[in-house]
Amino acid sequence: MSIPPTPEQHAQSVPPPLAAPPPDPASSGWGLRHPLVIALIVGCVVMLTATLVLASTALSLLRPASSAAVPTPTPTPTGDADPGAQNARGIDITTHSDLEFGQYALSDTLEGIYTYLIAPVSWSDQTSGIDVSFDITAFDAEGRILDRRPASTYLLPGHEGLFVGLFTVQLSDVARISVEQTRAKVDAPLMTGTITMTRSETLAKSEDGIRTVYVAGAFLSTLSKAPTYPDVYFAAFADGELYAFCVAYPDIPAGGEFADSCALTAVTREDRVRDDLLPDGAEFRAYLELDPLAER
Amino acid sequence: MTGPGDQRRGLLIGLSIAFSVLTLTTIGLGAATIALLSFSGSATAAPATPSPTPSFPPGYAATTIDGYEISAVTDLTVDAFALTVSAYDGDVSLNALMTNEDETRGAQVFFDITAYREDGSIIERGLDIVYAPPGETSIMRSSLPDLDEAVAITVEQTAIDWLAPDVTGGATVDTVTATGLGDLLEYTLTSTISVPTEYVDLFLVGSLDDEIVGVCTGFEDIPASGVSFEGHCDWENAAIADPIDVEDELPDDVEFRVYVRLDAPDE
Repeated sequence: MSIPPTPEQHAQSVPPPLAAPPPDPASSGWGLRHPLVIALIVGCVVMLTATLVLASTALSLLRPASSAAVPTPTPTPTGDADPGAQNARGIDITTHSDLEFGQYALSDTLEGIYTYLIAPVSWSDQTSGIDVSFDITAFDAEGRILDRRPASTYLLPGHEGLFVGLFTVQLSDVARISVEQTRAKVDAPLMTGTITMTRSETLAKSEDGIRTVYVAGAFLSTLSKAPTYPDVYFAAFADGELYAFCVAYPDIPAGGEFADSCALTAVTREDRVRDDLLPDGAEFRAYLELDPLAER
Repeated sequence: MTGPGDQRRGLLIGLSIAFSVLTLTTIGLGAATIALLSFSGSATAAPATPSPTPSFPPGYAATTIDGYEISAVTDLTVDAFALTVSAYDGDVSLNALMTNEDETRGAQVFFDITAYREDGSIIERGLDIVYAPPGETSIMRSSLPDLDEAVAITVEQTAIDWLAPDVTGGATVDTVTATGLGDLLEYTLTSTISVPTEYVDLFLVGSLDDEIVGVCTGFEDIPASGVSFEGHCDWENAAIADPIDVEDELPDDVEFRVYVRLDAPDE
């Protein structure tokens, strides 16, 4: 027995003219019970579950898969996710050292054989000096050693320096480089004080079509003794990027002024070295490199 | 203004979009999972697990001994690795039998032997130079005094010189016997050397069921081929589960082969 709708109910059951297909003019609660909505909700839940399950499966598969692909002849042991991993000129460079390494840069292959590997380094210990030896190694794509050379640096307490390595290898053959500390001696500093560059100047000169850029620096020494056979590295930066360096061999007094200069060699971490070694805003820094053998 | 119908419509559209997105994600992840499954299947099949008597392809060799990951990168073929321990000072040496597959040229190979900590830093790096005549096997040997923190040891060829050979051959083992004097063994060998040669380092490698159980190091003048000679060598046990006792009697089934380290010919 059906109760005929009251006129009021009847009026309500007439669909509003613009609410298209659904038969019931529903509140939001009503809409949830519509078969299509229910089907879609169920579908969403099923698909969400499937997504989550598959995502976790895929993730768990990814991990062993990447470590299972190990049998590459990497002479560096264990899968250490190296925080010091860098790239310069498309070559991966790994570092193991007590020094802190900044961004590496590589020169072109000079005279068909020499390639420089450069990086700013720092030693934060404020009381001891550090005498560090390295092996720098260039590997080919198969993990064979193309060239392994020693390198070394000495840093006074709290000083920055320039790591300079020299390969005798064609850059184009190199797939990977490692910089490995083979020895470190942390000891009372060879001397106290420092050198400060008070002024720098540059000079460009063309000879036989080759343009050479020189950098010169005036320095103040507060060193406690005159170092024996010191080096001073000049490094040129543009927009914070190391783009050139050179080495000078000045006589440094124990306290007092000195000056020296050298011809810049272009280096880069990008694909190509700069053509212009005197860009706008170029900034020059100088680093003292002492010879611990000569000092003792 | 939005009426209740518009809200429901919005809900429907929203659910439809969510359903489509989730369906696509599911299909994508399904495909990725299938791809990964087939990839990991082939990847686990690929790596050559070192057999008890490892014979490695030229170029690269790796094994694990006593918990140390040991690997080599060289143009010689690595036939076997062994870690041996000196009874006198407890020093550990890494030994590697290496064959020059080139039938016409001698190979002088410079090796760096490096022990690494777990963080990848170097504990120690040493050098060994091995000369192997054409088609012959020599032995690389490096002492590694400080292995306490080591997890890995690498043998890396840093340079190789291919040389016109002069002296070839070595010796064969006739007898090896215990002497009752600690790790000292007595041997009789027969020369197979092409030219009698003075001051040759020789290594008698003892194997049991194809596993190297120790290396006995000696030093001898080797006479002309066919002539037998005697001498003594110092036995070092390999780092294996059951090291053998050589003082009073050698187990019968230990097989010995002798490897010589000849000097490279002058260039």
